[in-house]
Amino acid sequence: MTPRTPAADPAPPRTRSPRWQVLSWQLIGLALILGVWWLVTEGLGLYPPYVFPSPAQVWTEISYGLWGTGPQDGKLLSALAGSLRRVLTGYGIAVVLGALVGLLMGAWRPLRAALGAYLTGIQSVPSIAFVPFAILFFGLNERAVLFVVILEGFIPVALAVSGALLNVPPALRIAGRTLGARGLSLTTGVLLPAALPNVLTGLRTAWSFAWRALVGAELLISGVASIGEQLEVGRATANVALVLASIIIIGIIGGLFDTLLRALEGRVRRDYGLEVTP
Amino acid sequence: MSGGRSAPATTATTPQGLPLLLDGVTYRYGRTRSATAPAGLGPLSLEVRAGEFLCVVGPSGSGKSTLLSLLAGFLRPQAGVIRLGDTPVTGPDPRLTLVQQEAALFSWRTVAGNVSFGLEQRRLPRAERDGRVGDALRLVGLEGYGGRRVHELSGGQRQRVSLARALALQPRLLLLDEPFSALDDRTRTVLADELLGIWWSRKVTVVFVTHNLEEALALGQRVVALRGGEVALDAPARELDVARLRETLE
Repeated sequence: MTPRTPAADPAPPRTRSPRWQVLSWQLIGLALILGVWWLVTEGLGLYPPYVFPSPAQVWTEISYGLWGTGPQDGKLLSALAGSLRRVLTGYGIAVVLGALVGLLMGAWRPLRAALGAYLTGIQSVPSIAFVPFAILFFGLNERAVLFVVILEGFIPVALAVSGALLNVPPALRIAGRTLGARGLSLTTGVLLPAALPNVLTGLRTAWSFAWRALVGAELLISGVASIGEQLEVGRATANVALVLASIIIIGIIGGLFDTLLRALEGRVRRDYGLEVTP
Repeated sequence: MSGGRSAPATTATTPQGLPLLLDGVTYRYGRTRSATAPAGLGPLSLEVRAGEFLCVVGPSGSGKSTLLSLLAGFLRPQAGVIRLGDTPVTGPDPRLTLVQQEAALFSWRTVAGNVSFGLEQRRLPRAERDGRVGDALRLVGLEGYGGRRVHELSGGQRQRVSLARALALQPRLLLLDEPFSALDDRTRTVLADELLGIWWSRKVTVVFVTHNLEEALALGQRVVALRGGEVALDAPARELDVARLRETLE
């Protein structure tokens, strides 16, 4: 038999859209926000600086807090380092635990039926509501913060992994089985790779939950160098610039990690042919 | 495509296909029945010769999918026995593979990675895997496509990969579940001709399930029509025409 050239059966074209366009619009958006902020504060002087400081005053707070060399400077940096260490530890534990529980729930439907609704219910409780329990249980220390972070990160991962496994198209399972995959090899060779895009979405959600939970818990648990503590210090000393600086740093760090995870998710989705944009 | 084929019996090589025997095979689904629920199958007895190309036709709910699931080992007969060669089929069997209606390719793997998957499960050495992948892709006209991602392929090319993935395992029985139904007429005709060429060269036993009567008559040496889970007609394709098949299935 002569092999045919499938030229008459053309493959779909590849499409790419310019990334710089998106970046340009994002920069324009940032300029707009800063412009309105400046106008309301310094430009029109609608509010006194101790109520609503200008972008320049907040920038000064950030620069002293992050890379200042004076005796009172650099506190934002140490706070940020402490918060990042805490959230990465908690998030890491949450991902491992969530993946294990999610795998079990995905492999065994009765377990998902038994736990799924309760996990979803717990997920709907604001993380701040668990802080008093964590303080009473663990004391006013890092373990209480970690508990809340792990709890908030673990549930989205477990639900995402189990849901993604259960939603693997039956045709892929059948293909795997008919090609000889069984048990663990079916799970690692077919089910988990097929579930990966949805799992990554869950990891992104989990990051968002964990980061929010961290800041919430740190607000209430004093004595540990943290970004949440900086917020509380700013409130207690009526330093609105420090409060805004902390909020901006929280937003930037949260956004950076989300962007990293989104990039990873996008890469996987493109490799899987689920998206065609770069 | 032309009319029913004669057996590839005069070739020099030994036929690779194994004979398939179904003896009193019965499968019934649960008690809850609805208009859309499958009817189940049997008792059904059927013999497929080694290297034969059998087409199975029938309306929805006639038992075609149940038959394929039983043959593929995904379901176990509640009564009767299925034999491939001398041994019974009691579960997914390395001697047979199934090509599904949708290509069901692994999008996280390249084309070659897809074709190689079943060979990896069998823990074949890398060199042998590569050789078989290359042969299978050449056979389906996708030489040079090994490094592509599957989403870069058209529907017809995907189904070719699915066929190559099955053929790389060198099955003794090839099960096909309406593999061309999602394709346009032209691609379907081209792929059907290619499938015949592969069958002819590999001497594999084929059970091809379709609801397309013209396709069944064009491809099969023999056509079995199922109705209500039972054999309504079993005859060589050359003795049949679409009108008779349609009349049988009504």
